[in-house]
Amino acid sequence: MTAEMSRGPAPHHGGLWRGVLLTLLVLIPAIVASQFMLAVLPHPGYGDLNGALAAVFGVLFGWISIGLWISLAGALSLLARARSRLQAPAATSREARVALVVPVFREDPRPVCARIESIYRSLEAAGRLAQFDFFLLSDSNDADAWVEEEVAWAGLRARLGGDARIYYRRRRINIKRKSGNIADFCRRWGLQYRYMVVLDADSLMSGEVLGRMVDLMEHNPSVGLIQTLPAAIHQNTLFGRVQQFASRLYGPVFAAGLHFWHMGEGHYWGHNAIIRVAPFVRHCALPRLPGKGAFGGEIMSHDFVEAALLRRAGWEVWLEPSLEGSYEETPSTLLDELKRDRRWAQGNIQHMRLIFARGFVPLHRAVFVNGIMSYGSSLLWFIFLLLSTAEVVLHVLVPPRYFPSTRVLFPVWPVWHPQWAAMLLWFTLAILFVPKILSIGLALLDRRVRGFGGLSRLLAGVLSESVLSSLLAPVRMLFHTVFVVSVLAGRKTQWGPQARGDVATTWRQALRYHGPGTMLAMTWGAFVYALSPKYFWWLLPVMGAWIVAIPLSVWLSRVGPGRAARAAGLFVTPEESHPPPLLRLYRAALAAPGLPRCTSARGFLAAIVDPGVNALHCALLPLSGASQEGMALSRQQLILTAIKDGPGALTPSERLRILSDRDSVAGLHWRVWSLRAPRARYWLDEQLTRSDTPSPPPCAEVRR
Amino acid sequence: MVRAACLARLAQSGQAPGSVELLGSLMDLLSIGQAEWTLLVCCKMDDALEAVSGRGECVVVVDERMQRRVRVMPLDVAEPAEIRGRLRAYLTALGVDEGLSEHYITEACEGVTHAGAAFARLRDLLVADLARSGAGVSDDPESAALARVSIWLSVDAVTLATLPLTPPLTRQSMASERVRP
Repeated sequence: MTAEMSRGPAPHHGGLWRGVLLTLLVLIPAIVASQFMLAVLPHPGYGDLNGALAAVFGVLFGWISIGLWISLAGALSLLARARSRLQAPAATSREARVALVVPVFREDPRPVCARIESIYRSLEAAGRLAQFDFFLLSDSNDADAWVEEEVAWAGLRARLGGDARIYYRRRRINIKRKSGNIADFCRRWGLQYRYMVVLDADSLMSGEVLGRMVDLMEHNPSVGLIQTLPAAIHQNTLFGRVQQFASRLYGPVFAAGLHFWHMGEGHYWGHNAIIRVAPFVRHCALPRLPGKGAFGGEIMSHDFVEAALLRRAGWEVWLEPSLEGSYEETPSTLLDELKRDRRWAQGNIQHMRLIFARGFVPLHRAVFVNGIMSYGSSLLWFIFLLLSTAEVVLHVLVPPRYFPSTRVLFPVWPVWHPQWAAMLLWFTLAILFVPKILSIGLALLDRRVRGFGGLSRLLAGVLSESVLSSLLAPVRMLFHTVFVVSVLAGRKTQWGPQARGDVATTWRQALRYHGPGTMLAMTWGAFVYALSPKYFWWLLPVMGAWIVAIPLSVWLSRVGPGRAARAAGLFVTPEESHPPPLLRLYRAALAAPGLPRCTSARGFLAAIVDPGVNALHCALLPLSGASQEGMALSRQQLILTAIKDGPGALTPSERLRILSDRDSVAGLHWRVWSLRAPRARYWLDEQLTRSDTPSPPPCAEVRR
Repeated sequence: MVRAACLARLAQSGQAPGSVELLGSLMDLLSIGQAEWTLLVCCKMDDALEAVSGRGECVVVVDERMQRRVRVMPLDVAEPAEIRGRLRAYLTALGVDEGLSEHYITEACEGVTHAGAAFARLRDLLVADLARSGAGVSDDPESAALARVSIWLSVDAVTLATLPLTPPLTRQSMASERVRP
């Protein structure tokens, strides 16, 4: 019996009433707040401007209040120890085959393989290894990355033993990026697995949580996908540590809230999740969207769409916050995070075209809107600042209109209630800070404070994080505004590898990326100060953040301040205070030596020169088939170029073409080792060719 | 003779040197293990044809209508001591123990005049040893690769040959339903 046939009935509108309630909770205060804003504004005469300001404020107020309601629901759920709807008995059958898939794109393969090794050993310790096969699914389009992935994978197999079911596959044409990579796996091997666990290159999951996820899927046959809440780990820069601390402290409350509101119509974040393969294959084929520019082409943020498609087909999608033992690494600098946000902004805004697509449940349409607002709210905030500045300009330069409409007996005096405005500001700030307070309270009640370094350090961490977040929020807003505008203007982003590691932002980079914002802040601030010094102070939190963005970005990107904070006990997380066994396994795997290399060559050069790496690469390639004559000759031409002028004469795509053909790689290998100097020195170390005695070539003139 | 025939064909083809056909024909020579000489690289029509051989001698049939200056220089290591040195370096890098290495070198260098032939023979020796170990082999790059991986990783070649690189393919389609904006 297939998994699809045996599934139970899925409640079609499991989260509907909650969705309606949340909508009301957001809409009503947003309307009230915009009305209040209208009352606060001093010039009733500027009807259109005031209306626009109040409308934008209302939308922003509603947007931030979503966080409040999610965290409140999450805190109440956690306080009430509400049990998850997903339950599974402790003892379950272990027949289901599970594929653990790790899509990679030009990642450093050593840590990726170390993560796979630690998960493997953790599953082994949990007694669940027999169910799992591992797939390292490469989309790397770079010759050096490809070869190093193969070597790292071979090293992993060598360390774990010949019978370790860890497979490596590289796609030659990486269409549809990550979603296409997963789809390719499903097409080739999906039939052999009931579930697949999708990981990112930086993901880690313990054997216990993986086993638990499989059990939950087995005992909840109407569930198509379970998403875990990955905790951020392994951050060393100050920026990374602050983000890690914040996500670890506040994340569980938000996740519990999302679980409460969404029920079986929840989120999929693209990794650290288990998916029922058969319905995924049947219902989650993603199309290319028609049209050009940023809105057309491949769906970039595929995960939201896949969750919506699964739910549309009747399968439940759950975010399960109780599953601990799921980890990920986050960007370590502000600029790295912003580069990632550029991709996400495009992907989320692309969802505008899917909001009204046929058959999606309302909550998943709301998820699309929420994703759009994650970046659209920045544009609205920026517009709000522009409008409020316009209000000040009018206030200063234009005489008040005492009779805004003709049928008024008495003049309308401009009245400014600074205490009302302050009240609105404080109320808005309170909404932003309530989730933090709730998270601290829950950490106290659950006795998790020690994991964060103790109460005083926890509070100091929250305070410092709040200050830094307040400084970073306007900087992010400015970037996100630019992203949204550029996406709306049709500019596409390129697909590049995710930045990893602790590479500090240089002053030059910071100047390049934050300089325009700083200039804007100084110009704007000076203009406003000249017009109205009082209003300037309202703008200062935003303008000030833009002005300090350059040094702030550089300072936060450094490891030194991060380590100093760690030494002082600031921004400590439970995973650092008491490292779980999985993280210890990961460190051991990372420290393990890789395969001994025959030569010092790396990447493409190693695939041609190194006897071991060349042999490995040849063994992993399919047989060179009978190709068209033109293609074969063109490949031969490449080999001739390589012999004549060395690897430096080959373009990246030419290197890939050579590496893709087994006969070419093998032939070039033997040829290169036969070459005499000086050509041999294009490829081989000097010590290997030292005994050569290159002589000037003889010349012969051949005449008829 | 193979070399001469190929070049004659080139000349008759009327193709400009540097064209795909010319290169393909030259590659015929490169890829034939028994070729007496290894060749070479060519260049543009008006440039000198750069002929490269193991012996440093060349007989070239050129287009009767054209006189062409042919530059000949050895492509491969040709000095016997240098050939042995290169083979030794290769086998040491691969991790072959010294005794076996000397055996391979002696066998591979016997009667050869350039390193290309010696390495071709070494490759055959590795494959022959692999065949003796019981692994099912054929004379293709895969077998040579398997032999070298086996030496490099110190893994029994028979075991290595049976390890699945991926599970068997079970293809299915993934396009039954689609989202329409």
